[in-house]
Amino acid sequence: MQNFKHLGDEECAAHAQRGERAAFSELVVRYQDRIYRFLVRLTRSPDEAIELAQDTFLNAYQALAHWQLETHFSAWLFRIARNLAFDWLRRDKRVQFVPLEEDDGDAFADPAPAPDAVLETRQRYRSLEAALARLPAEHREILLLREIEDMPYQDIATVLGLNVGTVKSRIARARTALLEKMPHRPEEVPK
Amino acid sequence: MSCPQDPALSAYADQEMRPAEYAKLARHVQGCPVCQRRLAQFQGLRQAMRELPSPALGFDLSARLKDRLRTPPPRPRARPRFWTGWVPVGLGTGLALASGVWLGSLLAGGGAVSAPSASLVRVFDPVPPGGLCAAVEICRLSKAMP
Repeated sequence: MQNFKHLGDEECAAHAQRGERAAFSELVVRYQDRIYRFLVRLTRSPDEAIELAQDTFLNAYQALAHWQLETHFSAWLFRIARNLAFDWLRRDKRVQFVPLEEDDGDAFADPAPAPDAVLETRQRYRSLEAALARLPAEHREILLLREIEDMPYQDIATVLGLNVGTVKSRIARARTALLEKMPHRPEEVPK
Repeated sequence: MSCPQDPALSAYADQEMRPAEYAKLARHVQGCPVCQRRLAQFQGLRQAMRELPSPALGFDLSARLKDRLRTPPPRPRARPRFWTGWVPVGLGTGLALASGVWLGSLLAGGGAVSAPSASLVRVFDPVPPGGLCAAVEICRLSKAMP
């Protein structure tokens, strides 16, 4: 079996398009955690995020014929994930806004007693996750793509089906909204 | 230069600007504490988001999908070449136009179609063509007509 580890995403996708399943498996390995963390934060449901991540790769495999070399594979894949997540969010109007005080934020908590600094860090993560969860999904998704996935504006435009000018203004609005929802501004939080 | 608005500062923080625009804004930011503070907020936000613990799937998804990816993906369809794509359409259109012109010329020529003589047109014939004769007088009358 051919090894695809040394190939770039687009080369792997081109091989997968020609029917080489191992090339597609390599892409799944590369992207499964990125797609999952994006979906977890977008849907706020770890269980649903697993299902959606699975569906993302299955849909991508079936739609490989439509992927074109000039589009970054990552942007194309995130577009599929994003559309699946929004379908799920729209179904039964599952868009959730979790109030700061109601969010337990213990998804990544360590049960062992922690010194003050660790506790403080954990509190900071908790506040930020909660503030993110309270953003409208449109703001949340664009911040996740920019700040966590580190995508350039052009790729974000591809994922969201927007033009670059709209991406630019929406990122600014989302940042302002998140700053307003945080109890401490990031540059004011002691580290 | 007046202070730029949030979209410009945010794009500046992301270095998503044309070089000339970026240099102009950089000069302004250097001397503007208000913009420096706003920029620090945007940069701090990014830093904080990148530090968030990253939830991981925790298992090999490609192994789980292996069985469901047995069938090869649908192959991309080749784009139609010029000769196979447009030529049949053009030929069909041309033939349709030519036959239309030919039929039109037949009608406009005048020789092909001539009006029937008045004696052949029996507008008020009481018996329709192929109809049975309802009364002898009527049939006689119609036969007697010129």
